[in-house]
Amino acid sequence: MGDLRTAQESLREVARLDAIGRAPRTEVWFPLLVFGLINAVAAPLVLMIGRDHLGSFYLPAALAGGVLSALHYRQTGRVSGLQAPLFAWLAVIAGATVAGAVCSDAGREEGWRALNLAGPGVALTVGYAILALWARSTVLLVAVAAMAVAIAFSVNVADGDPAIAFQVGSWAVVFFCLAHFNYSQHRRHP
Amino acid sequence: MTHPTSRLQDDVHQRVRLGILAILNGASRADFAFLRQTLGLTDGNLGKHLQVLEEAGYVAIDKVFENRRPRTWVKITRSGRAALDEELAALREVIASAERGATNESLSAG
Repeated sequence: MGDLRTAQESLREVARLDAIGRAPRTEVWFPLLVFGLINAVAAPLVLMIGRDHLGSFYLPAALAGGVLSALHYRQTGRVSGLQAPLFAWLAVIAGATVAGAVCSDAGREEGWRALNLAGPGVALTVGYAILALWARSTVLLVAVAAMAVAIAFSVNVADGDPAIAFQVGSWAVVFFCLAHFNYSQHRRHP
Repeated sequence: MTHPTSRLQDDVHQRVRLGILAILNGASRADFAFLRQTLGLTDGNLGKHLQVLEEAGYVAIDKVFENRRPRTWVKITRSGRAALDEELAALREVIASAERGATNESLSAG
């Protein structure tokens, strides 16, 4: 009976300390803010330059956003004394952004409307879903669900550049709201 | 058949050392002050436990100067993660075994 109680207490304590060790991963307000800004700029931009040229803004902006987010995690980790792993974050953002650009190009060249309009969004949504699972972040999971809904809605009700503008514009709104929520959540329970 | 407690490793099973590995498992690295504060230990006590874990190859310790002040960062190694997984599996087995034993006892009593 003593063994049982000690083992149960040890497992509970390990779970509590594991959650403390993973806490910096769930602080996602900064990347959401950065990627919200990128999407907010991309929404009007795609209507001006067309979706075929959006990659020349989105690709470097997303990679820069990934690096900026990694630097933010590094800095907050230095201050708090607990650093989150950065490699997964950078690798997933880079991979999803490049996959999105490939989908967009392939869809245009092959004349596949769905791949051209929804492909980049789906690639990014999958990337965020991987990060949500890795970080065990409910906030990121909500973002993923909202991104998927926005893609499905935009492809069914709009076409061409307005469809992409709707996608990234609605992502920006969702990201800003979730960034605000996550920020206030972490300020209340640091 | 060996008792599941025989799978518990002395280097990891100790409460504080298990706690250190649990914190480091989800993080990239943690500094000495963070571990000391989170686990409620003294400098000397934490230092001794870290030494045991480092000698076993379960953590890597990096002493650096940041803004001209010394700082100690601690990181879990691959074998540290494996040892933690093994310890958690052993603890779950202890629980399962004790629960099986309790069920058998109540069946034979009834």
